[in-house]
Amino acid sequence: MKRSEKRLIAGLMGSCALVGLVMPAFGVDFSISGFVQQQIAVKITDQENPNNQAGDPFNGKKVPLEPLGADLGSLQAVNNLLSSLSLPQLNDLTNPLLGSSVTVPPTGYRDVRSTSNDFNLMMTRIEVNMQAAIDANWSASATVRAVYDWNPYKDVSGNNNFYETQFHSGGGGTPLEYAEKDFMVDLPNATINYTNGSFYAKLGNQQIAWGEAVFFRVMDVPNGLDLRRHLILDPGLEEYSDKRVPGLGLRMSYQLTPDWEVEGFIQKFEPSIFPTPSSPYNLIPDQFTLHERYRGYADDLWNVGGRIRAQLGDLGLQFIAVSRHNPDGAIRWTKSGVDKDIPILPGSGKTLAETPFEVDQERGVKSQEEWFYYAGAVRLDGVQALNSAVDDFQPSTGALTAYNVGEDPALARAELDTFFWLSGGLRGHIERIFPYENVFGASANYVFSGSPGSFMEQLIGRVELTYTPNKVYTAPSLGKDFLVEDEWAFAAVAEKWYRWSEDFPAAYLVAQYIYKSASDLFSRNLQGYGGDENGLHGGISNYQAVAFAGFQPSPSLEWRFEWAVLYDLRGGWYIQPGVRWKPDDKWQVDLHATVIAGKDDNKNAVSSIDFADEISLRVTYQF
Amino acid sequence: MHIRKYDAGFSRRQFLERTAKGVVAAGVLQPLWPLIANAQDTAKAYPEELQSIDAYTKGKIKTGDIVDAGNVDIVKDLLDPITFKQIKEMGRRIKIVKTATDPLVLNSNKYLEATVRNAGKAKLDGAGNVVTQDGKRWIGGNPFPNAKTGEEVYANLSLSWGRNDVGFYALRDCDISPSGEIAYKYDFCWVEQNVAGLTSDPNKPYLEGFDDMLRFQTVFFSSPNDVRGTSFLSNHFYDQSKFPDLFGYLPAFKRERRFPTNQRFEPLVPGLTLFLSDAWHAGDPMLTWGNYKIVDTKPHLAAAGSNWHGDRPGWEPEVHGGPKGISFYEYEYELKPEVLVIDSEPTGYPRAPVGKRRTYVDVRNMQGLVSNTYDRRGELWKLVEAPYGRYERNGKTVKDGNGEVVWSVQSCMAHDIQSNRLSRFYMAEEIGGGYKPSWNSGNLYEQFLTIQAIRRLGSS
Repeated sequence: MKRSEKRLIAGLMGSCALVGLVMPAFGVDFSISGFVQQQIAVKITDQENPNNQAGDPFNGKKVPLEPLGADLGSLQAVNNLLSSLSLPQLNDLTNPLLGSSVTVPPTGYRDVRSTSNDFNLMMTRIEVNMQAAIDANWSASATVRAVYDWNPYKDVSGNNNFYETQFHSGGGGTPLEYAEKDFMVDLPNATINYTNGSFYAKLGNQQIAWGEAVFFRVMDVPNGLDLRRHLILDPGLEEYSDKRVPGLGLRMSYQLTPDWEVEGFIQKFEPSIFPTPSSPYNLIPDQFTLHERYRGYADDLWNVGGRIRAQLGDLGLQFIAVSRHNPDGAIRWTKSGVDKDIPILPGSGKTLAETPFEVDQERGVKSQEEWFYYAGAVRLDGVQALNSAVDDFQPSTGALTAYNVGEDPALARAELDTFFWLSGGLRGHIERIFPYENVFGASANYVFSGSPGSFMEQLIGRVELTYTPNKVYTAPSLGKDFLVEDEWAFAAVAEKWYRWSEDFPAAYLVAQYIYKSASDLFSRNLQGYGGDENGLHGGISNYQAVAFAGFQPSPSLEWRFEWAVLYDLRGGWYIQPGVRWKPDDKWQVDLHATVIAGKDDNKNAVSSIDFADEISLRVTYQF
Repeated sequence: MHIRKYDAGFSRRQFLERTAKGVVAAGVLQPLWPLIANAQDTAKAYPEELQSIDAYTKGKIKTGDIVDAGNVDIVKDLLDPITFKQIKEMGRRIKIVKTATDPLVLNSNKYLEATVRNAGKAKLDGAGNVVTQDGKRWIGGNPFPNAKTGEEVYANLSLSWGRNDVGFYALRDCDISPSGEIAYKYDFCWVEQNVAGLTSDPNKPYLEGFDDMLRFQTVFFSSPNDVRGTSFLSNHFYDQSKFPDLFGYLPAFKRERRFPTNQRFEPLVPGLTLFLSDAWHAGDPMLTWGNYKIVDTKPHLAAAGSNWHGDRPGWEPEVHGGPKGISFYEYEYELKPEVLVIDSEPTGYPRAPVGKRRTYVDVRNMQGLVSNTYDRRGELWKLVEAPYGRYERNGKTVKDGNGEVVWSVQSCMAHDIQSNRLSRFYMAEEIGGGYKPSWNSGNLYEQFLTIQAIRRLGSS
C-alpha cells in the first residue's frame, strides 16, 4: 500500500473518530461500529479468464491467416497480393520493420504468455458505520468502506487495475469514491434522515431496493451494480447488497394509511461498474478498449421514480414507475482516436484513428478465428460487427479499402484476416452510453394459509413484472444504431420456511423462475446469442432460468448451511454451496464454492463466467 | 399471627381440592378479588404460611436468606423444575425478600384501574376471543381477573403483554455459551403498541383506524454491526386464531421482506434462545395454542417486583453462577401465595419443536412469572423467566407518559437446558444507537411499527 493510500485511510478513520468525539458534545447520540474482513477466492479449475490477455486461448498459437482468402505461402504470392492492393513489395520472407504484420506465410501469432492463477481474489476490507441520532426527527448515518486487493492474480502486465474507473477524476466509480488500481475508499451510504409522523425522507448517497426475488433483479431498477468486488460471486442469498451502486439523491415516503404507502425518489444517475481490464473477473475482452461515455456525457443526469405499496391482508402489492438512464448502458463501436500507422502503409494512422481500430501487434486481435471466438463469447455477431465497423466509419474505412461483406462469413473471414495480417493485430475501440428509458412494474406477494403442517401452510408466493418500452440495447453488430426492443421481465417465487425435524430450526427454501423477453441475466440482448465462427444464427427468443436456494441453520444459528443453484433452461448451471460459521458476536467465517457448468455454445448466460469456478473464504471480525 | 388451622398443609389441601374439582377461586382466607377491587392488602386473603418463607419452611429458610445448592431442596416444591436445576446444579442463587401484598405494587396503576373498572364485562365469544358483553373488542385491564379456566388465564396474559398501552424497551442481551462464556452480545429494542384494550384514558380503549387489530410489535437490533438494523414487525390481529403478519428488514439484503409467521420457534439471531413464541409466556396468538389446563394451584417462589436496578450504572443487574460466574442475574425472589400452573400445547403448529408449555401465573395480578417448555419427547427444554415490577429503588424512579411510576418487565432469562445456552437481557438505561426505554409516551406506530419504519430503522 502506498503512503498516500495509507494517509487517505488514516485520514478517513481519524475523521470518523473525531466525529465520534465531537458529536456527544452537541448532545447527539453517536454510535460507531464496523468490521475488518479478509476474502480469498481460490480457483478450482485450470481455466483462466479468457477476457484477460493471459487467458486468451489463442496465446502462443500460430493461426494461419488467409488474407482475401488467398494462399500466400510464398513471397511471390504475397508480392502479387500487395501489388494488387497498391502496397509496397517485400524483399524477403521476414521483415522486422513491420513487426508481426505481413508475415509469410500469413500467420496470426499471439506472442502473449498464458498464466496459471491459483487465486482470483485476495481482498481486505474495512467498513466503518456511523449513526447519529440528532433528535426525534433527524438522524444521520454514514458508512466508510475501504478495500485493498493484494493482487495475487497474474495477468501479463503485473500492474492489474482492480478498482480505478473512468467515471470520476479521483478514479472512483461514484462521486463519493476515490480509487486507485489496487485500492478504493468510498462512502456507500451517507445520508441525513428526517421523519415526522407518516413522512420519511432520506437525503444523500444511498441504495434503493424494491424487489423481493433472490438473485433475480426484476423490480430492483433504481440502481445498477458495481461488479468490481468479486463480480456476482458473493453468496447468492446476499442479493447484491454489496453490489448496488449508490447514488446521491432524495428518497421520500409517506404512509397514507396503515395499508398504503407512497414513495418517490430523485437520484443522480450512476452507471453499473464493470470489472476492470486485467482484473480476475473482467468481462470485456482485453483486445478491446471500452470508453465510458459518462464523464462529461452523463454525469449530470438524474433518475426519478415512484412506488405505491399496499398490504391488504395476506396480499401485498407494489406498483412502480421509474424514469431513468439505463445503468447497464449500451455499447457500440467508436473511433479509436489513435494515430498509429499500419506498418506497411505509412501515414495510414490518421485514417485509422477515425475508425474503431488501432494497430496493436502485441495485445490486439490477431486472426479472424480469434475475432469470431470472442464475438460469440460476448454475444455479438462477428460478421455484422465487421460490417458496422466499416459502414459506421466511412469514409475512413473505405479509404483503407474495407468493405461491407453482407452476410457472407467467408468474405468476413477473408477481410478480417487481411487487416490482421497487414496490421499484425488490431485493437477495437467501443463506447458505452446510457440511454434513457421508462420502466413500469408491479409485484404481488401472497401468504397461503394451507392446513396446519401442510407444505402450503404459510407458503409465500411472489410475482414481479416489469415492462420497459423501447429499451435500448447493444446491437449484436455493435452498430451506432442500437437495438431497440420492448422488454418484459417476470419472476415468480415460492418461498417456504420448513422444519424438517424438531431438532433444527426451519430451513429456508426458495424456488424461483425468471423470464425475460429481450435480454439475459446480465442484460445482454438475446439477439446476440449463439454466435460462432460463421457469425450469428438468429439469437434466442427469450431468456428463462430457474433457481433453488436456501439455507439450513443449526439450532443456535451458529452454523448455517447454504446453497444456491441456478439452471439456465438453455443448458447452463450455476451452483453455489456454502457454509457460514458464527462462533461468537465478533467473528464470522463464510466458505462458499462456485461451480459453473454446462454447454459452452454461447446460448446460455452463465457460460460467460465459466472461468470463475472457485472456493471463496471470507473471515470477518466485527468491532 | 400464626393460626395453626391455616398452615401450609391446609392451604395445600385446599388448592389440591380446587384443582381436582376444576374450581378456581383465588384466596384462601377470603376471596382475593374483592380485596383487590377495593385496593386492600392481598395479605388478608392468605394465611401467613403462604406469604412468609419463614413460616412455610418452619424457619429453615428466612426472609433475607440466600437459596443455593446447599438449601434448595427445602423449597424444591416451591420452584419450577428448571429453576430448581439451575440452583441445584449450575451455581445459581436467589435471595428471598418479603412478599409484596399491596395491589398497587403488584400492578401497573392504570392497568389495575381498568381491571377494576371493567370487571365482569368480558366474555369469550364463540370463536374463543375476548369481547365485551355487547360483542366489542376488549376495553382494558385483565378481562378475567377472577379467571376460572386456563383459557381465561391466558386471555389475561395475551391481550396486554406488557400491561402498558405503549412500551419501548431498550434491552441489552448477553448469550451465554455452554462453557459459561458470553458468546454473543446484542442491543435490541422491543416496541409494543396496543391498539385495543387501552388503559391510559378510560374514554379511549381503542386506537382509531385499527378495527381488527390487537397490537403492533417490532423488534429491531441496534448492535453489533452485522445485525444492526435487523428488524421484525409483527401485526397481531384481534382475532387470536390468526397468525400475525410478519415483515422483516435484514441488513444483509438491504430491503424489507415478507416472512411467514408460523415459524415462531426459531432464534431471531445467532445465540439468542428466546423465540418470538416465548415472549411474555404468550408470544403467539392465544387461539393458535390449545388444550389449556390448570394443572395445579400452589404457593410458588418466583422473582419479586424489586429486580429493577436503577441505582446501578446503566441499570445493569449483577450476575453470578455458571462455569464462569456470569450466567445468571441476581434475582430477589418472594413467596407468591397462590400461583396457577397452566399447561398448553401449540396445537396450531404441528411442526413446532415445543410439545408443551407450563406457565406459572400469579393469581393476584394474573401475570406470568416463569414458564418451562417441554420438547415433543416430553423432555424439559427451556425456561423463560422475567420479573415485573415498579421502577423504583433507593429513591430513584422512572415515570411513564401518564406520570405514573413505571410498572413493567425488568429483565429476562431464557435458558435452553438441553444445549445449556442461556440468553439474558435487561432493561437498560440506554443501548447502542442512543435508544432509551419509555412507556406510554405517545403513539409509536408511525415511528417504529410500519414497514416504512423498519425500512428506515434498518437502512439508516
